[in-house]
Amino acid sequence: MSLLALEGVTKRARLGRRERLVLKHATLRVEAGELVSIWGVPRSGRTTLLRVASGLEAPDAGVVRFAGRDLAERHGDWLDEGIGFAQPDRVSVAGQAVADYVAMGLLAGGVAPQEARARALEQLDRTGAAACAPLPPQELDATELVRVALAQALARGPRLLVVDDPTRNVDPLERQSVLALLRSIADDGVAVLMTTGEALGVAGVDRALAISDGELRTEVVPAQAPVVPLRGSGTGG
Amino acid sequence: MGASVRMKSAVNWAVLGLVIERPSYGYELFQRLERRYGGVLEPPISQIYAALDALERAALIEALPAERIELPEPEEPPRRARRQPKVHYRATAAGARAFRVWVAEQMREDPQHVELLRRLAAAAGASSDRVGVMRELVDHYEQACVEEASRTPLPQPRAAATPAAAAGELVERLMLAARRGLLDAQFTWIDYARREIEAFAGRDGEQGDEPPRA
Repeated sequence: MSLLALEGVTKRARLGRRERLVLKHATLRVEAGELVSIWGVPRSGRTTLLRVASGLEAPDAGVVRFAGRDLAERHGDWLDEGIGFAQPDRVSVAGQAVADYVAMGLLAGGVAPQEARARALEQLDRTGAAACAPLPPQELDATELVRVALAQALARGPRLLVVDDPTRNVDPLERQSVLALLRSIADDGVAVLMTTGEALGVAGVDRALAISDGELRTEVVPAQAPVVPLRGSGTGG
Repeated sequence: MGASVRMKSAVNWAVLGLVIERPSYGYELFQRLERRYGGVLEPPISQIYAALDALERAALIEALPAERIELPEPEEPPRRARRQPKVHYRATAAGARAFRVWVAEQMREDPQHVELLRRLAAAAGASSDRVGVMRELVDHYEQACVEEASRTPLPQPRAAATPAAAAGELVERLMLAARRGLLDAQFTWIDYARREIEAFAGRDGEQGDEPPRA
């Protein structure tokens, strides 16, 4: 059984009087510990695909199963416990520090404040953003925002991490280390489902797909790619 | 792939591609090839039969049992029809795989995309389903590009032992970045080409395969 399975998923979006098919009969599987990247331009349906895959939006047709369960059977806006959804553009907690933002989901889940904070710091360390812990979110640069968002999504110990275009806005010299971090998260057993708008974003993945105009068209399972060392050491990730 | 395939001939690959699209026999393949690649690839019919032999020997295609053939035979000239039973061929799984790999290689080894553009031009000149063929070519091209992009290695954190080694790694990264830059341009082109083709299909009717009015 696949960890995540989308079968014939269709999603419509209404913009004023016009209705558009954003996802057309999308079928996708993600296995445990697999790094799956979907290449597509903005407005290709890639973000909607991730939102439907993680249960944030319900499909109009088709089914999304996570660990064998139909995500449509869940109610409310909360993510399934096993799914982490990283949102770099939503990293903000008014007047509080990054560590509080990362701990937020844990606190909401009933974890005691002290333990929540310890786990938040642990995840920030894991994603190479330990130095950001005391800072207010508005002081972070694009790379730090991604790392913090990943820490937040990982805090509850998900089996699947979902992230939309993690290298968007990230400095070109930092992109490889962000992707190497995602690779290492998958190697640790957490499946990663991501989108990308650049060739680098499918490098070294376990499975690459392409989406355009709401259709998943291409699926590639590359042979194990050789490893090239990353610039310097200790760049995090 | 079981059989070792030495297929230098573009005709062989073109025939294989057509057989993958649908099972076909020699004369029909000759006609389909002429329609699809006319002006670019114009082999005599003997070369089609030679291609079928080569493909069958390499186990990339196989003959369909005669009794299972239920295909329309639209373009058979009436006088040939009774001469001998036509052998229909279909692609084997190995054939479909080999063709995909070949298309991907063609496009990778062809940074100017001459092959792709040549085939698009041939499709544009075809008398039927030109939009369908163009869509398919762009899909193949995308497959090739995604394969190439996913095969380029992702740099991993590691401390370089010496300054010379570090410089060597830098050069390697720069070369990879150059390859990826080309791929990014190709992806941009794919998106653009799809929009153009769909806009064209929209103007020419849903299927886009109706002949233009004189």
